[in-house]
Amino acid sequence: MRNPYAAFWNEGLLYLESGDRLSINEIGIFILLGLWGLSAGVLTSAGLFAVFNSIGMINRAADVTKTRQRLLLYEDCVVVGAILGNSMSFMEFQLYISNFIGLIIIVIFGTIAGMFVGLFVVSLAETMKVIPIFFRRFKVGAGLGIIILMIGLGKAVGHIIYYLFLY
Amino acid sequence: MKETLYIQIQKSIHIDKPTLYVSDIGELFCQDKTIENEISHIVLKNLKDKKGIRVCMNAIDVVKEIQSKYPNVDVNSIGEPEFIVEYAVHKPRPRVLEFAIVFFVAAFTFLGSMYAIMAYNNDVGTVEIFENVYEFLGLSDYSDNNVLEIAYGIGLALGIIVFYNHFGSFKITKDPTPIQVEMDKYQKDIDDTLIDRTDASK
Repeated sequence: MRNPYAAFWNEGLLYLESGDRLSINEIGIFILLGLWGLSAGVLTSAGLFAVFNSIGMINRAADVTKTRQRLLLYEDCVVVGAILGNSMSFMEFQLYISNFIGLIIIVIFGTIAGMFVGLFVVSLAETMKVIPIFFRRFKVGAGLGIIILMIGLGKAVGHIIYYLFLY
Repeated sequence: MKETLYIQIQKSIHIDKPTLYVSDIGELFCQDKTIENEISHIVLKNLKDKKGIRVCMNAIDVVKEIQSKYPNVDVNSIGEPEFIVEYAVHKPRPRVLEFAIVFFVAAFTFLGSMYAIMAYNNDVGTVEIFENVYEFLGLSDYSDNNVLEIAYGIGLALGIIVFYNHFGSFKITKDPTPIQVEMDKYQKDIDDTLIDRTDASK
């Protein structure tokens, strides 16, 4: 297998594994494409994580467990998690591990992803002040805890019904 | 001659002894240093039976207390009109438990944001968008090389790092990060709510 990049310096052509060759023009287009992809990534990720920041989800998790001094560590975890998740969306590669370990990892990931989504939706609802406005309109006095519990249970039951029976 | 005492009260006070002195509340200033020293040792309240509970107090009670003992001192209160005092002894958790909790929240954040990005990509269909772009430019033979996807991944990481202002020990500017700003705002909201609720119940 010869070095595909040797021809680049000699003739200005890049030979690929599929047998095609790229000229300088096409390489230029690729560079522009790369810049476009870079800016797309920057803007979409900044937007998505600005939403997470403004609803204060990670703050709440750090506050409840009284670990406020580790907030910067959680920020780093967000960056690493986002990179890994993004590469899992695009690249197709498989880990060859035994069924048992894979099952444990799947269960853990599913539980934590579910907790995350639940926390996200409720934080969003609280930032949009859904529940306080509801309570004022209907002049509900007591029973706040029961109503929130019912919201959580309803989401869980609806999710299970959707995925097991309606999908 | 009347002396003026200025007292600047903070909004949220934590003490680790059950007695609350005037010097714990905030900063004092008086031209006469002996009076300032004496006033700073006045006991305002004893929180022996309110350990771990946040107590809301008024600035006017402070002024009343000081004036009852030193009637010829003019007390000026600049700062918060109402404040919260908490008497709590900080007991550090055992290291194993602390490590387990931090690990759990870190794993929660990690897996959660991984799921969030995958869900976002699935919702907007970035795979199809990139295929369309390749086809539009006539480069659909080269879509195996994943130029766009790799650039998008690098841009994703850069975007988050630019937004959160630091990664590891590398900081971009010296401002506090947005997450710390949010935490501060949240803490202020909690204090304000506590003050309002205590007032409403009186």
